Amino acid sequence: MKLKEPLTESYFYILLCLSEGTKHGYGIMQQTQEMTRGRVKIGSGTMYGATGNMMKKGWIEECMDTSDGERRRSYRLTEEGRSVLRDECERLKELLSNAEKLMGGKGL
Amino acid sequence: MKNIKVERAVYAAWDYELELEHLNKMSEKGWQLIHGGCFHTKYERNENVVYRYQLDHNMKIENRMRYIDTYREQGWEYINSTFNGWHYFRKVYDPAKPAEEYEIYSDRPSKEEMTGRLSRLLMVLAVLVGILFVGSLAALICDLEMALIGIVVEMLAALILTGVGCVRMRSAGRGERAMKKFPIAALVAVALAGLAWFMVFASTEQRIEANWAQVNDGWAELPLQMTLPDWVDICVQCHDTQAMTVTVSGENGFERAYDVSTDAESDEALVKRIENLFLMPGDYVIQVDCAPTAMGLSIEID
Repeated sequence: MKLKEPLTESYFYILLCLSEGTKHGYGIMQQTQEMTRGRVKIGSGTMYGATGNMMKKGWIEECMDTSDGERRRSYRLTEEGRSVLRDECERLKELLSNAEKLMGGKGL
Repeated sequence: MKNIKVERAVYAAWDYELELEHLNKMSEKGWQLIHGGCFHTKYERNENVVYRYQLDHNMKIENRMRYIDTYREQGWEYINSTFNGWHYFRKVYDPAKPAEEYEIYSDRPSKEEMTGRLSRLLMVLAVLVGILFVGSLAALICDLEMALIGIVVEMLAALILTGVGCVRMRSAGRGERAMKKFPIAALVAVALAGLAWFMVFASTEQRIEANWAQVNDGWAELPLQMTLPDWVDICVQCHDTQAMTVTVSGENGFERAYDVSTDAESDEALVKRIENLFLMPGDYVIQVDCAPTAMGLSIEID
């Protein structure tokens, strides 16, 4: 399934966090907040919608994580999701490379 | 001793931001929402805490547990859901935390997904009301009594308000001050007036019976006045063998003719029915043409 549209930052960061391994919603939200230095904080409504859509598309799966002693509702990336994430990175690389070419030099 | 307060405010779907402002203000004053709804809002007295409230609209939640968990993870306490897809949440307010802490939609696309769902629901309502309005208008054109104008006005008001509501939803992204409660009160008042008119009407039955035993000079006439559109059965009974024509004529050149024959030899054939003739409101004349010697002719209209 070829990616047709760019991902929003929320979708991108959810997939990115899950590329490391199984995580629960709060963990994804926190890690995203850290990685973006507080700029992207995924709200509950956004999270529910995004995870629901991505599960429907087969990019992520729901699972039960018992690693920290209690049963927590968690998500994990599927092969399809990983491939979507890679494609999106390719798109972003191309985007940035074109910007550097036209606007000259690194650091823009 | 718990103190409970109940408010009966009517909130339109597109005024949910107004409702949220109100709930937050009430919380600051010490009244905490414990049950939210379109017409009935319940508060509990508690001056020791301040909450911030949020409303989500979602008619199709596939996994309720996942939904509530996703909110609970970030500190949102689930309060209740309404029949029309609204869900109430609250979070303890801490002034040290930034404003985004109290939002549930953190980016525009996801916020617009929500308002888009709501808009589509309102569009469906607007279309339904539009269909009702067109129907009422058609009935009005067929020369009905003034009473139905009430319904038409009600429908038009509902159509305008729902239509305006949909437009406002789409441009509500900037969180502008929404319309006050007046349009809603007006809509409710007009809807009630329309309903009252309609009930007065529906309660009056239409039943016309006429019998006459003699036919004069080969024809007989029966006037019929229809006040509401309805189906009519014309029943022709004759004690004799007769071939006759029953003609129903109305305003604007409306005419229906039926050939009916009764047969004295057969009991069943003495009664002939013209069934399910649909007539719009207006004045009609039912005429029977037959031989002058016919006796015992009666016509019943049900």
